[in-house]
Amino acid sequence: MLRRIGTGLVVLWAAATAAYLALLAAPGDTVDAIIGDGADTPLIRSQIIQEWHLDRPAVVQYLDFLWRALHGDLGRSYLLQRPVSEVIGGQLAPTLTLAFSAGVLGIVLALVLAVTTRRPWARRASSTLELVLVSTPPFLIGIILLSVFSFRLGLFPVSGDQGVAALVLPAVTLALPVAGVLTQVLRDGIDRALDEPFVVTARARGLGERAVLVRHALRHALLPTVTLIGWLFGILLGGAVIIETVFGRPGLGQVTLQAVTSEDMPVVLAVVVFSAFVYVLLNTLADLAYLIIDPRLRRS
Amino acid sequence: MRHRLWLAAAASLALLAGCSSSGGTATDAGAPVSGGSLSWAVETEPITLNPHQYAQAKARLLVWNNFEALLTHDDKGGYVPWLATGYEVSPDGKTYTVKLRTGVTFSDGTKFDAAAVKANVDQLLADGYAPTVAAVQLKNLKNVEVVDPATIKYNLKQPDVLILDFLSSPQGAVVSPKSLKEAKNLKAGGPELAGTGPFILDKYTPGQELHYVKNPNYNWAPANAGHTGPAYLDEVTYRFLKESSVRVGALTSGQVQVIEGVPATDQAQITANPQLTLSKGLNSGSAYSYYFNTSHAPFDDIRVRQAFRDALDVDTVLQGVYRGTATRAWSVISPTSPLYDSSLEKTYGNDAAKANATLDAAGWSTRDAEGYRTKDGKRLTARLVQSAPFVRDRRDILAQAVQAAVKQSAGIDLKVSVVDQGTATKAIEDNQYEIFDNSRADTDAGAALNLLLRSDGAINRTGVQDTQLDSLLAAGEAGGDRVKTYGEIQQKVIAKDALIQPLYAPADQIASSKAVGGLGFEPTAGVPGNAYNVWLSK
Amino acid sequence: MTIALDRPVSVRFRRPRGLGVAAASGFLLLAFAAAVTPGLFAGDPLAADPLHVLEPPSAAHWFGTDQLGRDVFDRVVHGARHSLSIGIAATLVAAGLGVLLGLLAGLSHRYADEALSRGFDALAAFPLLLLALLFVAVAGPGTVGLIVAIGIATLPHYARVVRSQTFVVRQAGYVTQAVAFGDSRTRLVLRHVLPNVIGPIPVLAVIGLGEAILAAAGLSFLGMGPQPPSPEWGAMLSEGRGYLSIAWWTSILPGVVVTLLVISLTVVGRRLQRRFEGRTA
Repeated sequence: MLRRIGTGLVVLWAAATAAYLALLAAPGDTVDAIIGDGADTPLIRSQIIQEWHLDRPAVVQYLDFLWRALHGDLGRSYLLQRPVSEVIGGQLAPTLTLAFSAGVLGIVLALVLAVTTRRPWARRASSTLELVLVSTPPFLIGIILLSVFSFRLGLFPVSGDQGVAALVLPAVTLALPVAGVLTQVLRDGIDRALDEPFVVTARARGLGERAVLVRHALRHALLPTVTLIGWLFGILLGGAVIIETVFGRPGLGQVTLQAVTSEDMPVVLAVVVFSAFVYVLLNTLADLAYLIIDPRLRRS
Repeated sequence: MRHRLWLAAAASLALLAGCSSSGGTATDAGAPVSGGSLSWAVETEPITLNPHQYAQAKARLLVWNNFEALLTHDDKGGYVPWLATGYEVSPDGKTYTVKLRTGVTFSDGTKFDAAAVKANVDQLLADGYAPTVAAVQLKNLKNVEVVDPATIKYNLKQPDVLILDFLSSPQGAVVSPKSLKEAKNLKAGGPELAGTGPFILDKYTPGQELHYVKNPNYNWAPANAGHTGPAYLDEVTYRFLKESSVRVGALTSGQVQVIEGVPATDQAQITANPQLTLSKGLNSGSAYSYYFNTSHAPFDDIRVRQAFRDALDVDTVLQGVYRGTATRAWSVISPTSPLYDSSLEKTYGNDAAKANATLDAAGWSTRDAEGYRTKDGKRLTARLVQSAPFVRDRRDILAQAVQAAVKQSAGIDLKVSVVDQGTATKAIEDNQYEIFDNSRADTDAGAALNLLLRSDGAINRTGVQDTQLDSLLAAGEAGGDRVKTYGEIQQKVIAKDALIQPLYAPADQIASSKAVGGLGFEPTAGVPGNAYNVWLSK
Repeated sequence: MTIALDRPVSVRFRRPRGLGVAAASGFLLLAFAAAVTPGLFAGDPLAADPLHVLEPPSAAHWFGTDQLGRDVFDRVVHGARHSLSIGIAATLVAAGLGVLLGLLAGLSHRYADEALSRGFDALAAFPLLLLALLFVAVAGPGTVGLIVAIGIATLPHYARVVRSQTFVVRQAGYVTQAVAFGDSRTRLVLRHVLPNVIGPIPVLAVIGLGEAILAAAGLSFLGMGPQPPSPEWGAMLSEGRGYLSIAWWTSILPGVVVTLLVISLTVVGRRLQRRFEGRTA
């Protein structure tokens, strides 16, 4: 466990450093980024340099960044003039709500589809649907849902983060491709499990086909799914950027996009460190989940 | 009988409101009523809520809800006292004495007086606080003096009539001196900054909305505000909806009652809906224009600049992109400004034959395989670099339309790129551009021209270094017959030197449910006004 | 868009009907033909006509016209070149780097292998979009940044396969034999290991191409791809989005074409994969 945490810290440091170096190499310097399209005179420049201590060598700034990040201080946003933790913290809830509901919805959809579409024709229909879902750009799904259900039918609010109704379309958009992939993995797992000896034994014991499917095969098929948790996180967080843009939702994706286009370095760094942190956390959780689902692993 | 009387009174009140707020929309909302809560979707989430740091014209309608300045603009280029009761200028134009209103309090209970005004100016001049204001708007300010609690004196280094523009600008808004001292995130602003305005900002949810409540003690509206006493609305919520289609959808589905920023393509949807109304206001300041970089080829040659303008049929391009909703600009100054020179209209442009002849004469007579003109093997290329965070009004689409037009009519290669801020700034710094695009929303066009045209102007992107132009701009800043001075400036830069290709006059649009009354545009600025005079019929 | 990209390699579709494969192959042929000689199929994708903007699909304009009066069909056809070349380039970067790093991991000592493998895991799981945004901040939006970003983000697919193949090959008789003959290390890798580990790569690349195209469209949608007026599909979708309520064809039709292309690549790729597996098994 200690080793895990150690590895996690190394990953965090590597992510932060890589991002720092990348941003350092970006065109235009920090003063340019802060000035934006505003007035630009030597006096204004010198004041900005003074305010953000930009006259220090890059190494010192980097070490200062690391030192303060270690103390939980991620600095202030150049653009928004507020502590980064506040900027990101305020946008965390909408993104997490979206990602979580989409994740749950995707998993439920996949479970239902994988278990119910066992007959050949249903399977074929479902497979085709999955193929279409994973091949369609999510923004296209979002745009179509938005124009049909919000603009034409007026069933859901068009925008923002106002209650459950506004969450439905974005969550569905993000969940559909997830469901597409997960259904395939689950069905594959179930197929394999159904060939295993223990299923034959269960059947021999006179267990109904449904019970075999749910109690034995599904359980077996869940194991490979757990390894996908890291992948799922990538999809949900990355997908959020696009979904938030399409649906005009506030969230981490919008903050990131704004920070990158306006070179708001402290915010970009914080987003990278945060994503790395969630990644490390989820992988640790996935390892634990393994132990719970498959008791055999506990011994080793 | 009593009922009829009441109706008549209400009607006259409504009439009054309609007259006094410039551009107030004709309304089906009936007489003003107090109470209610309004949702208003706006395009832009302000980068900062501190008025001193104000830099986005789109944030102006928010600023004036909870903050106020000493003066405000009327619709004829003059000023109306707001937190002031009047001002006097010394004969040498170097001292402005402003009398202040008494009995005004900030929403945190602090008293408004000359000391509070001075504390704001001191803060603006503090190192690293508002470098742009200090370097531009207050460049001629020597100091301020508190004469007595109700009188303050601005001493200038040299005559500068633009100081009045500063006194009526968001940067000149007066923030409670207590907040200036105690605010945790002063530069970001927010609910912790107290002002004197008709509303109080009580909640800011980043990425989502601003929520204001009525200031019940408010009783110092300027004479042109439409009514007196507290605001009509109890609450107003501004929601940030970046996408225009989403804003329009929110309005048509009744999630919000008012939206601002209605692009041309969506306007038909509003006007076709009997429940909704649409109104437009032209902004002040400089028109959206292309500035030719004269520091190197090809635009160092005036003939190429003229040819570019002749090659372009601005009306057709605007018609295609904005579907007849845009107002064409003929000068660098917006047509609503009192300083606008209308004699420039229809004097140049849209003459492809002339453009081609001029380019042939200027040596760009050969064409390459793709049909672009060349000279000594070099293509006639003009690069326009747009910074993605600041592209608005579909200016990227407009650029593509211009690109297609000048290619088709004269073989000019306009290269458009939409890039991040750092790359854009770098392109400007390295002089790797031939065309710069910009519009300024300054309430006094002179302030915009100082930045854009003076040899040492902070946004002088034409590279023009012209002492005659500089002295004209200085004369305009000092006062005198400003209409004549700025007329000469416009003739020089547009007609004589062809430094600029004006395109359109930026405008703002408000679309609203007919249940909302009292919406209008801020005099002079032409942007949507604050929510003070707005009501919601029951 | 990241969805398909990080799709686990083990996923298998049911056998597509023969008709499906034929249709998919046909569409792919068309798409490649369009990418090679777009002029044969469509007119000038940049020809603007301000008098005929946002016209619905008709006999004259099959896919309607866009906000500048350009023919959407012409733009979609020309867009094939952008999307396919970006996709192919990104896939080449990914496959090239993936093979190199996979070999390195498969042939190195335990710790180096462990570090590299962890790196692949992290890269595969880290949101591609974030990674790509970082690249864009450095390289600026445009084709090169896009290619590098997608290439790096998708290299783990290839690296993991090559790494595990390398393990298998290392144990094989001909390698141990070659070692016994005293072949140089480079020669060993080039002559014996490499040819035997890259077998699955071309097929993976066909499927990967679909994923890369999807990713590129997503990034262009956010404005990180080729600049206007390039008729890139993702960018077209993004530009058309503002006109969705009055002119759905400017955004939906390019989107449908992307989807068809990706589906076709997947179907054909799976088919090839099965063939390949059938041969080696």
